[in-house]
Amino acid sequence: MDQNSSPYTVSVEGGKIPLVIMNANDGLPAAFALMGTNVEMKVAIRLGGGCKGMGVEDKKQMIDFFLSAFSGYQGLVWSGATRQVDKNGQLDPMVTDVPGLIAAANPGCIALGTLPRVDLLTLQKDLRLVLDEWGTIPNPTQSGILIVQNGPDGKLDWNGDVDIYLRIMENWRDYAKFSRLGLIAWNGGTITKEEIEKSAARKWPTILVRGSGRVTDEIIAKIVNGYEDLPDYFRGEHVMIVPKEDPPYLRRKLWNAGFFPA
Amino acid sequence: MKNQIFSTPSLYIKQWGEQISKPELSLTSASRKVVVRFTGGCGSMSKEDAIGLYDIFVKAFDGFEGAILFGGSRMLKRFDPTEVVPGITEIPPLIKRNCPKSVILGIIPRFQELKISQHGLVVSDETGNDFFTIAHPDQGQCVVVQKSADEGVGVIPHLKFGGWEVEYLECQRIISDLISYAKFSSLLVSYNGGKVTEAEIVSTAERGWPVLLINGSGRKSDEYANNRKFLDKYPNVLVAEKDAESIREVLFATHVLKSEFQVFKSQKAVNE
Repeated sequence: MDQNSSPYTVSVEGGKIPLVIMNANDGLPAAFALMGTNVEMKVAIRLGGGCKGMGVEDKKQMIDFFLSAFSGYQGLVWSGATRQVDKNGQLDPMVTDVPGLIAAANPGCIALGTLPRVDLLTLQKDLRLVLDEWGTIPNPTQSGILIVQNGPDGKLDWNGDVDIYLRIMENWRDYAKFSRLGLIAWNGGTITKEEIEKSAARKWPTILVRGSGRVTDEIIAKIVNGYEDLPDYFRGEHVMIVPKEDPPYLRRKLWNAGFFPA
Repeated sequence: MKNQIFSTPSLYIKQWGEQISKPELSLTSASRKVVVRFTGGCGSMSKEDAIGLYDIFVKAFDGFEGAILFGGSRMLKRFDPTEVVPGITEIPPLIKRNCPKSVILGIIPRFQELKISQHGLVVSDETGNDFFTIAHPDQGQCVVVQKSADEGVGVIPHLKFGGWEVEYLECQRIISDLISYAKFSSLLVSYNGGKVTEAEIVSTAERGWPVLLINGSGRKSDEYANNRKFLDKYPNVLVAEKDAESIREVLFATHVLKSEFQVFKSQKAVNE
């Protein structure tokens, strides 16, 4: 990741990122769903999670971990569509920066993102689009972004896009012949917990990265303790644990689950 | 042709202007990123213009692996509903049967209440016609477009042809999405047809999208196929004669068919 380039620079091919805005109760937008079909291999992985409690080196290791594991990936990879910028105007890398990096490194792979509108969108300084009071911006490394809102001036919580993106993934599978859908969780809080549960309940490959922190590690601990307090849908081969120190291990899991070409 | 049922289409009913994504996504499951829109003659096509219609296109499209959009209906004779009235809408299901890697989607504008009958889902039954229209039974999926639950497309304001253009406008919207977001290419194939077909031919040409007019098919397709001024103005409009070989040549030239299927000519020569 080039720390010297502006965190605001759009780096996707063509230099433009379509923003599709939908109300949470609308039908799913065809334009956005179609963007996902341009991948070389019709598989889709959602990265869920966060980076709280992680230092600079931890975040670098996270990026290296995913880039290594996903080398040669030709499917769709997506996450929340946000980017954090610190008060000095420098990029503060998050899990949401990973899909764009994977796509940039792997021809045929596409990165998309979704985000719930949690506040009124504002234009600030040199016409930058800002999503909230903390200066969160749309991620400029994703090829398309879906913004989900509660009407033109209502606000959603930060989980407001979860059910929408799950439905889009199911539509890719059911109508566009995507062969595999899955979720990888890194760190994260209550929203990540919801995403993990919903992926596991759907029997999708649900991969938890051990050592990434917070809710992901909490759930891993419960699994290791005999699925303590966890619903039955966590039991089964579809829920996998991979160590953060071992990207080849994640890669093997993804390969075995059908996310790489045979 | 007899009215036989080979499959049970999925039916989507949408309001004019409403967002719908599943049918468009299903078109991307075609093996090849090309969408062909068939338009033209139906109830007003003469018997002579219908001669050889199906055979020509099934042969021309042999090996097709893309998506097709068409008016998703079938006309049945009023006094013998087992008999199908020839029309352009019979072609895509026949192509699909011959080309399993293709995907077809029918679009039907709703003017009247839909009715379930022993012959199928009736979408139109106008007194004075010697036929009535059902949702084509041999398509995987079909989108019925209405103004609202109560009202058909005939009352949508500001439409020049009383709602009859809804089919092609909806097809153009889908094609535009496929081109813009899913990297598809397109081709409009026009056979016979009247005023609404004319509007579609002109509108598609003006967008710069490829158009194929079948010369010898009659009515508006013939008129434009022989309009030198129109053809000079729109180089994206091509003409083929009403035979499989001529049409197939254009399909290869426009990359609707893959070049490895370009064996028709040599095989034909061998057979002769």
